[in-house]
Amino acid sequence: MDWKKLQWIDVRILYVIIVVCLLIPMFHPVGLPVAISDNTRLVYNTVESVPDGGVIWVSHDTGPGNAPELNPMIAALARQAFRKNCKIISTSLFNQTFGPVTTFEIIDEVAREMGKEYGVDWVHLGYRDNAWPATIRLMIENIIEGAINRDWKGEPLDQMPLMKQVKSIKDDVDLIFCTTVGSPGYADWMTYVSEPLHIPLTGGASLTMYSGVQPYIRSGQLKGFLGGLRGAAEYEQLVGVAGAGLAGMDAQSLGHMTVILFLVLGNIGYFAAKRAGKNQ
Amino acid sequence: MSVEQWSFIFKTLSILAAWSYLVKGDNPVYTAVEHFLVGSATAYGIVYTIQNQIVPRIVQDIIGRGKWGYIFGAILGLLIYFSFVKGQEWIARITMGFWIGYGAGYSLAYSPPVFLTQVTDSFINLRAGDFAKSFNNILYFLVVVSTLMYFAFTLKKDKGVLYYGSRFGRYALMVAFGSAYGSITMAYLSLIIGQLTIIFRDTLHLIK
Repeated sequence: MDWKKLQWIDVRILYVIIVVCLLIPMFHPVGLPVAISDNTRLVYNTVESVPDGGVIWVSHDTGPGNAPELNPMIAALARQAFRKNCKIISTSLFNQTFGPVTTFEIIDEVAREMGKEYGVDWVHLGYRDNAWPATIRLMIENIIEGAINRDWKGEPLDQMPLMKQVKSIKDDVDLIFCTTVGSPGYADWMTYVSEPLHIPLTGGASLTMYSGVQPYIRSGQLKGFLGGLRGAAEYEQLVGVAGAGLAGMDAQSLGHMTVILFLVLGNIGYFAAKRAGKNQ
Repeated sequence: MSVEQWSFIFKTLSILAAWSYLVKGDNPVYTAVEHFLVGSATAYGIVYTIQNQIVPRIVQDIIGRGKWGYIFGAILGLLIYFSFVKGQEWIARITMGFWIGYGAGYSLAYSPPVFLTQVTDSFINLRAGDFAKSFNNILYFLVVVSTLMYFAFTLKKDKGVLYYGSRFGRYALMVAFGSAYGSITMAYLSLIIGQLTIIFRDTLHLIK
């Protein structure tokens, strides 16, 4: 066999093989075990440490590209928070179009299921303009002022019972839970809100960013952080609900094996070509 | 058929159109959905900004509560449109200058505590008690110092400690990049799973 050819397989064939490998476990789930990491436990325990009835600020800072990884985290968090009768105030600052709608739909679905009412148990502020530090600066002092007294659909905030209880980020928010795919993301929340105000910060990141998060978990500036679909699946297990995270893990695992196989084959091709070059 | 089902069909068609790039490269179907995405996002953004930002700020804050100070900010922002006036482009730079200056100043005021925590976190006990923890801490220390050596471009690193240290730092960076690459591959697989779920579960109802 001419091993050198392994280097030059048509990439479209590889795409098809990967898609097929991802689809097989989706049609026939195996239910591979997902071990829970210390990091995910820390996220769960941090949310659990919020006093019952406390306020969690959720910022689902994602766009459509990374939503499959991050959406399950928000659903699981909403479930854990509402179970403790915590209140949620949510924003979505990364993407003006997709983020606010998705964030509302996810939390609304969990809230309805758990008998929680919009305006009383949670409020969604949606996207706020690009002047990120300035907008958040205003909300740190006075949420209604910073949000121009509008929720994401333009309804007046001062008419909502929750906003009579929660006036400012600095005095009334017990935990910030943000998802991250870029900026604004965890770095902005950490720099401008959680560090100066000493509010615990946790959440989850797309795996594209997860390496960069590690030093902050180590230093304790982030109270744990979930990593991608895998992190979401682990968190769902702790919360006790099998959601989209766990559902995708079989496919993810088989996908990894396929990519590793391609890497090995590609390297065999590379070394075979190198060896053939030396022999000539 | 419900609106939701139509939306899933539309999503599926858009995904397949976007994936057509993988097979045919830049093609009319791909370009069409790309333009549709950009156009609809821009339109949505404009309406959302007018409804949720500009109108409430004017009606509620400036007119309703007499916060006239916001007008200065608005005028400063509007100066950016001078970039379209021939010969007067320099006026737009006032807005940019303010924006960059404000951003840099704000960032400088808030960033040091975050950064310094990272620095103090690297002061670790090299004899931590149990072997595994000590080994980790020593490795961490070596990687921090050697990576700093690698980035010290003004020093000559042709021999001695700096030579070997910076080489070790380079290998440590390569390990970090490899780990990041692995994470990114995992992330992209998650994204494909998300798209496949839309096609096969939400639209075709072939999987549960």
